[in-house]
Amino acid sequence: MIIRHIKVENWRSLVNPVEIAFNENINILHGSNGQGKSTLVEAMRMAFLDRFSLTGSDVGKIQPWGRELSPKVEIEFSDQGSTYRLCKKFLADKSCTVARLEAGTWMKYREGEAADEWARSLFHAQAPGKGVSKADHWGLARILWIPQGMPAYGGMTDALRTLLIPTAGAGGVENAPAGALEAAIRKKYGEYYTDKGAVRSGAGSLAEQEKCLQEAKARVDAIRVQLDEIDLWEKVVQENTRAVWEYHRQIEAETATMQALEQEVERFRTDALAAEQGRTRAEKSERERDNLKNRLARLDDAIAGQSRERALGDALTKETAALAKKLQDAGDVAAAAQRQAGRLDHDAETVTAVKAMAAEARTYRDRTAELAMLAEKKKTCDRLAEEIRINSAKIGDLRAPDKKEITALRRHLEDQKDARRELSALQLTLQFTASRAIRWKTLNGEPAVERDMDERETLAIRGLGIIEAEIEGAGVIRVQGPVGESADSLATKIARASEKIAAAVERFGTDNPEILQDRLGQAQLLEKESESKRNERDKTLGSLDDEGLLTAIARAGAMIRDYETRYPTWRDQVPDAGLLQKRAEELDADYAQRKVFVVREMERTRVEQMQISERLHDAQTRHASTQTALERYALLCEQLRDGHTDETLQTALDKLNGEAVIALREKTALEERVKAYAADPVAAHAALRLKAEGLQSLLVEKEKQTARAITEISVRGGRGLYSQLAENEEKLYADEHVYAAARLRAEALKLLYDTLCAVHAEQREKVVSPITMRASRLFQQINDRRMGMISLSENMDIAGFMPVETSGRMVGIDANLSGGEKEQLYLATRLALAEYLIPAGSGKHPVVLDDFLTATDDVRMSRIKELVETMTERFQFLILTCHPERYMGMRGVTMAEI
Amino acid sequence: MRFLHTADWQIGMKASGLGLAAALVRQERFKSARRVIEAAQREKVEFILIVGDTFENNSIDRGLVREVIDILATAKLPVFVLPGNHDPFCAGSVWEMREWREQPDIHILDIENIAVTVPGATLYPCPIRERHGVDDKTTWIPHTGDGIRIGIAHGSVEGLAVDEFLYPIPRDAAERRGLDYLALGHWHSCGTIPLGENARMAYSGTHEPTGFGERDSGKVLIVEIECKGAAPLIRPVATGGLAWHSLEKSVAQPGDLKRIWEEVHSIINPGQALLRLTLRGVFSLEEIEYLEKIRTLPESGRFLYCDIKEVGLAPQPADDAWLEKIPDAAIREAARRIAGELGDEVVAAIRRQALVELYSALREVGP
Repeated sequence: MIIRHIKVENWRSLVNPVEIAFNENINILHGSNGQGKSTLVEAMRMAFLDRFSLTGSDVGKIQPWGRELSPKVEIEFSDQGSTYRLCKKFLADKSCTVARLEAGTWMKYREGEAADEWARSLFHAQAPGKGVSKADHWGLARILWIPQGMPAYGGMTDALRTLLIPTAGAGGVENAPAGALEAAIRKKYGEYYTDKGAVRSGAGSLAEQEKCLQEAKARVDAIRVQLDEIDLWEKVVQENTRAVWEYHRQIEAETATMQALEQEVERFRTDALAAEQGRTRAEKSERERDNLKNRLARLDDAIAGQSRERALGDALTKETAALAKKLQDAGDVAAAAQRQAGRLDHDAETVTAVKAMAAEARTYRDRTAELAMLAEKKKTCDRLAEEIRINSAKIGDLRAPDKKEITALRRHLEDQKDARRELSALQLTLQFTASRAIRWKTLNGEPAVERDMDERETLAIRGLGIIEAEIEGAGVIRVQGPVGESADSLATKIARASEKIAAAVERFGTDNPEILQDRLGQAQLLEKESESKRNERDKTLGSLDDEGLLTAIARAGAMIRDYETRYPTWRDQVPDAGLLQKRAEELDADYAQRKVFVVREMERTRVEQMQISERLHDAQTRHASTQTALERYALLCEQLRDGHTDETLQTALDKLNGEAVIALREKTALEERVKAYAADPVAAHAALRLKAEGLQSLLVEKEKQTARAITEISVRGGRGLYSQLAENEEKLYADEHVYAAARLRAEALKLLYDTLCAVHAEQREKVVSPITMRASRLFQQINDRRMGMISLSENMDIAGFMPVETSGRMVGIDANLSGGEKEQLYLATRLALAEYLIPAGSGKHPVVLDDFLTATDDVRMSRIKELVETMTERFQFLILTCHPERYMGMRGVTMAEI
Repeated sequence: MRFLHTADWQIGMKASGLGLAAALVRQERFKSARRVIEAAQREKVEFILIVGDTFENNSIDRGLVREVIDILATAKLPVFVLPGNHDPFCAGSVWEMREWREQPDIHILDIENIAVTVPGATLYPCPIRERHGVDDKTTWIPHTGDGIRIGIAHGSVEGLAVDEFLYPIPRDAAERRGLDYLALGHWHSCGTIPLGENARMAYSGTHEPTGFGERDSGKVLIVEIECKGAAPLIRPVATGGLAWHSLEKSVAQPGDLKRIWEEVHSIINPGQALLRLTLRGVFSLEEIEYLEKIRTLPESGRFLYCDIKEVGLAPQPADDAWLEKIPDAAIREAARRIAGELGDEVVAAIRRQALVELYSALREVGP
């Protein structure tokens, strides 16, 4: 299709008819903003795609504002070798007609809705439901026409995809029966799965059924557990019943054995009792005999002890006397040592006095030397202080300013000089010579006169900055000096500088900065010298100040006078501290030697006295102890004899010996009788009883367990668990059966659906791949190869592109792309899609760019222009722009202004 | 002497796999029990022997036990009930219920090694006290005794193929113990041992079939013994109410599914019938109509219970002509891919079902 001509009237701002003829290649329609470029595109689109019978607010908007006119569009175009005229009116005069040029005459071809539908079919467009058509209805125009501000096309519609697949030669055909069949399969699939492939949930869903199955299984398992518990309890009953029977049998056997043992146990007990009694008697007899034996032995020991203690007491009496004599002698030696120690104390005082004198002599000498040194320091400091004072007086005499003051003076002098120079420049003189008699009036200047001037009379007027005079009847003369600061201001400046300079002269006696600079140098030299002397004085004083020096001199003098008062001879002759020290050390050494000897002697005599005293005390104590022992032994002998003689005691012992022998013989005979029993029948009987009792308690325990088990079984059995299990298992089985069938169906439908989707995906890929390649090539042609491949989404919208530098990572269309890049990306993809949507050889089709490519730079714009030129064999370009200069230089272009 | 010999009522049994029909199957066992009592009264027997497994389990609902007691009480005859391996006499068993002792005509044979005398005969019961056992319970029966000697034992006769072999009973137990008749329980089919006349040992089988594949069940035995030493006259009487049909069908030729459909439809009294139909082989998709009819049988309610199993049932491999009816688009390619490779049985089942769904959708949409 090639649009040849368009005429629009009564359409928004285009009230008067606007007619434009197009060539079949490239047409640039230009005009300023608001001239109706987009209105023209709208009229073109509505002519082909919208119903003429449109009503409502949408179509009302296309009327010229405030006018009840019928918008009208008339388009002539060629298609498949024929030329048509489509005329469409909206609103009051609504109509639609298509005429075909036949042998030079326009013949009616279509009318009304048929004409509407035929026009839409040229674009494979769909009729909108209500209102103006949207992009989804536009068919080919959705891709080929780019409305203002809408570079994106939002992917392909189903109707467009059906055009694309056979065009791309993908093999499979999308047709209506297939669509219905697929819809039926999708519907079945939708019974089990969501559009996103998730398993549906909710009542009756597979997930719900599975959940119910799990719950039912859990219920069945719970019942089975309880039934298993019954089995376990039944086993307990069976095992315990057997065990109880076995215990009964064993208890009966043990009871019979115990009865047989009981008589022997009685005999054994009698014999054992007799043997025990014999043993008791023998032990008693032995005990009495041993007691007497023991008593006699103790008596012998007491007598021997008496003799021993008596001999010991005698020896101790002698030892005590000898030790008392030794103690007396030691006391004498200790007294002599004590006296020697008393003499040593006097010698110690002498040594201390000599040492003190030597120390003081050393201090006296030191203080004398210190006083001399301090006096010298004071003399030096006084001299330096005088020299500094003299320098200060000299500096005062010089009347030298500081550096800042000199700089200020220089600045004031400079300011004064500058102001005077400028004031001088303002001095004007006007000399006027009259060529005829005139009346002169000085308006500004000196002398300020107003008078008549004769012919050839000359008058000179002076002024600062400006001179103004009026010549009556002739005009006003005005002389203007240099423009700048006023004379008053300059005079003020000069006066202010003069004041400052006068003040300097008053202080320093001159305003010559060079003299003052020289004085400043001299003063600085003197100050430097004074500073050096102050440093030297401070160094001489050291850590002291003047007052500290005087204090130190006074303190040293006082100390020297104190010593001389105590040692008057030192005033004439300074003592020899070394000699005094040596004398003190000799006395000290002699004293120390003697002190050691005396101390040792005193210690030795003290120890000897103490040792002898201890030994004496010990001997006295032991002696007292022997006396006590003698008394105790005497009392014991008396108690042991108890009034008996030695003979009577011996007779009693012999008698007890005889009785003990007889009792022992009887005991041995009785024990032999007890030993004659093979085993201890009492112990055996007790062991049997213990065993029987143990069996009995086990039996009782088993019976308790059995009773409990029976209770458990009865309680559980009464619940009808098996019947519950049966019902639950049956329901579970039925549910499983239903679930398995549903699941098989769901999986089958999923397989069918997934396979179908996979085939679709493959077919789509066959279509998408060449389009992607073509779009990418066009994009690279506009930009460069580094821009990489464009990526199209499932519905063929632009997902992004993969620049070479990202190594295959996609940059999304919404990422940081410039407006220009986005424009170029959409243009390339739209043109590539257009190539595949319109079969080669089926004629041209119009591509409309309404105020597009506004963000593209000049370099890429020139590439796009080249690209458009190369594509004119397939497309007719209608470009609407307010920048026609951007399209200059293209070949085969028709420019038209709106 | 004439008495009725029955066993293995299995009251309260599970009927797993029957789904919601299970309750009806269980209920039918009570109806059959009433038919047993009617048969006893009709045959004018002197007493009834129930030889074990009256109940499926000792933990069944006690209401079921009471219902059995009520049914037995209507006999107005001595009824001797032997505990079996499913309902052994043990702690917490159904036999401890007070209601048994309130019925003077019902006698629980729960005591071991004690004979019971009835007019003209002595009964030698061999009660089971544990669920599992491998001892011969008939060994205690003395070789001699008064009157007609009737043994009552529950267990597996040696050499007989039973699912649960326990409490073995010698094949010549009746001769060994000098019995005129040994009433047996445990095997669900009805039959004498040995087969044929003059047998003195017999299983009555269950009074109502318990599942698919049972042979000769749903009967009781009327036993007549003229005098001590005389050969017993054993006569089965039908008491079962439900018919269990288990059909295994192979599909190979066009028309097979139609024939199967007709055969299934010819089953009489389907409301009392349980049907398990297993289909194997390959079918023509032209016959999918019959397959779908067969598939809808379980939901149709025609049978008390119906289960259709398709074991490897698939459209005929060469029968791909229908694929050409699919529009030449992605959907046909998808169908070809699914039909092309079936894979293992699980995957193949899914693929087959997918093709059937597609075929159904194609038929819904139309050519």
